[in-house]
Amino acid sequence: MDFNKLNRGDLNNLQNQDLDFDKKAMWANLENRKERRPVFWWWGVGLGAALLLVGMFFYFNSDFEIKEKVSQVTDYQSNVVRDKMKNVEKEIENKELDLKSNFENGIASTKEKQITSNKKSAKFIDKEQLSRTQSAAEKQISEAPIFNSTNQNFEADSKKSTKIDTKKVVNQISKSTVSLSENSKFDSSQIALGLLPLLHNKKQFLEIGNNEKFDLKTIGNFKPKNFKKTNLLVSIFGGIGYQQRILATKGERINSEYLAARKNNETVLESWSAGLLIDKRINKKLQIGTGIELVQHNEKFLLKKYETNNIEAFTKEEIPSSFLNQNGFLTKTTENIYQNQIRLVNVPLSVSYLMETKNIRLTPTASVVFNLTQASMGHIENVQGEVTDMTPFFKSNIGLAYRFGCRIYYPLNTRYLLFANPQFEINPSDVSQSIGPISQKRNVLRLDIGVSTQIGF
Amino acid sequence: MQENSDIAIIKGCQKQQPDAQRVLFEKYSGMLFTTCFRYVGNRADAKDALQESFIRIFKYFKKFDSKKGSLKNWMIRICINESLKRIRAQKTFEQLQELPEEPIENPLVLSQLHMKDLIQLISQLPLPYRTVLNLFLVEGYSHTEIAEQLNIQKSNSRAILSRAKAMIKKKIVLEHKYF
Repeated sequence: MDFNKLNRGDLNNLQNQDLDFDKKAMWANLENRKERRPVFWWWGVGLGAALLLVGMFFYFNSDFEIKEKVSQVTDYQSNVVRDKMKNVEKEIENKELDLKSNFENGIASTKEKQITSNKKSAKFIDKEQLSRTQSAAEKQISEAPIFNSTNQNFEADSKKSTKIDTKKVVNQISKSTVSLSENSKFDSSQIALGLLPLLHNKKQFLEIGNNEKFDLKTIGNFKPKNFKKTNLLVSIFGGIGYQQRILATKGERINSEYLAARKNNETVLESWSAGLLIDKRINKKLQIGTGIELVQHNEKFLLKKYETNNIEAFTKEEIPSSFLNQNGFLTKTTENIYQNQIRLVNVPLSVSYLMETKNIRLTPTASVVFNLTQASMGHIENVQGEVTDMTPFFKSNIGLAYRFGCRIYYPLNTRYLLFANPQFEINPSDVSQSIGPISQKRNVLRLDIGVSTQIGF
Repeated sequence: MQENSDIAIIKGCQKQQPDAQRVLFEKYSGMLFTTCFRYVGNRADAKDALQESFIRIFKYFKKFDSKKGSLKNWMIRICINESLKRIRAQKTFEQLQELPEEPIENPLVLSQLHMKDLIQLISQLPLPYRTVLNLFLVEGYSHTEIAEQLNIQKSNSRAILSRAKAMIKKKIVLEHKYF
């Protein structure tokens, strides 16, 4: 090699020379570097998988619950009996009662502390009503010797005859409180579901009591009873929402008071969601997207059942011993708390307008959401007061919904972004079947948060 | 044209197979280390440059098109770029004047010079000299291309090269090793 005459590329063979160095150590470093690199990507995938698993768990597990609370109220219609009850009240307040009642049309079994008071009973029966019944009872009583008020067992004074026609008194009371259709399926000891809201409205209760035209048939067959210039953006998210429920009657098939009671007693209306989105940029300012999501709408409400039973209809084992041989009637109030879930699988189609600042990307978005399936899980009461599965009363597909929102992206690095997506969803369709008791539409205010990855720089 | 053995390695590396990547590393790491060493001048920096080069090689292997060039040249270019990143960060190239070449008195000296010894001599040159010398004499870039790479003028590239040659010759003569 003549160094004097060296020219361009003449030392090219130096490229093929090997110098020794610690190859094992370098390979070990390289493997460490390779393993460390995709951590964030795998965290994102793991988070997405976890969100989807949570969504699938809620979708496939029914988690409905009914809680029943029974309170026992005793009301004595006669002045004389009421006086004697004052002594009994103190005794009863300290006792815990096991109440078992067997009714012709249903069986309820609860364990409850007994609550008795004349004041409470007055909630269910107006004073005017009371005075009417009292006058009727008094008339009966005036024709017969009165009880000795000192006798705690309420036994008649042996020196005087005691002949009170208790049957007549109770029947009088029953007639004056409510008139029932002979053709109704309800026993005289039960009151239809439609009357339950009237517990809070004494005037209406009286009106119905006095309204001869009131007929349970008007309720009808009430069977009741949801971001450098990337081309592709893949996102995973989870979210919460709040439902604005729009409940309405379906003509004359249901008493509007039931609807009012249902609306007033709803306590939980939150929604949960999780899913996967894919967005593609079609030009500088627009992107289109689709995906799949799982949504669960929760609802919680309570319904009260008011039941009146002739004491004689109870067996001795069912009535607390201190109530035996008493005039009057037993009133039982049952509260059922319903916790239901409605689960949906949706496919959204969205169009977004891209606005980028230095630090964030704003994308106002409009979406059409196709519902693939809706499944309802829970229970509801029918007209007969029977608890039944609510599945047949909700549609299995609710059609289209519309969403408007704005995604806010914050880039973590050149590949990953965090995003928040507040949006408002409108469901114009009734989500319940025609056989359902009421129509239900829902609007949802929701907030989704998640992670996006940019593909195709 | 690719070597037959390289075809299998290329296919494996494009599928991100660890075994294929290991074979690639074992086969070419020595050569690529020498490349990095020629530019950065010391083993520590050469190892860093080589490590970063292999990470980029594995990451962008799918973009390698065997029809456009050989795998070896592609990897050498990545190593040179990685080395030049470090060089550009360290040094600005001063404007120098080209020196006239002075011939070595005993041309036999060069015929006895081993390649590895020459590599060592080149690595001992100052940063700008060995960079231009490597790019021109070893990689075969023109002065125009060198000027673009290093953000210097073309005349400066020539001047640096002439001074690099003079310095190498002086070292050979001074050390008297090859007589």
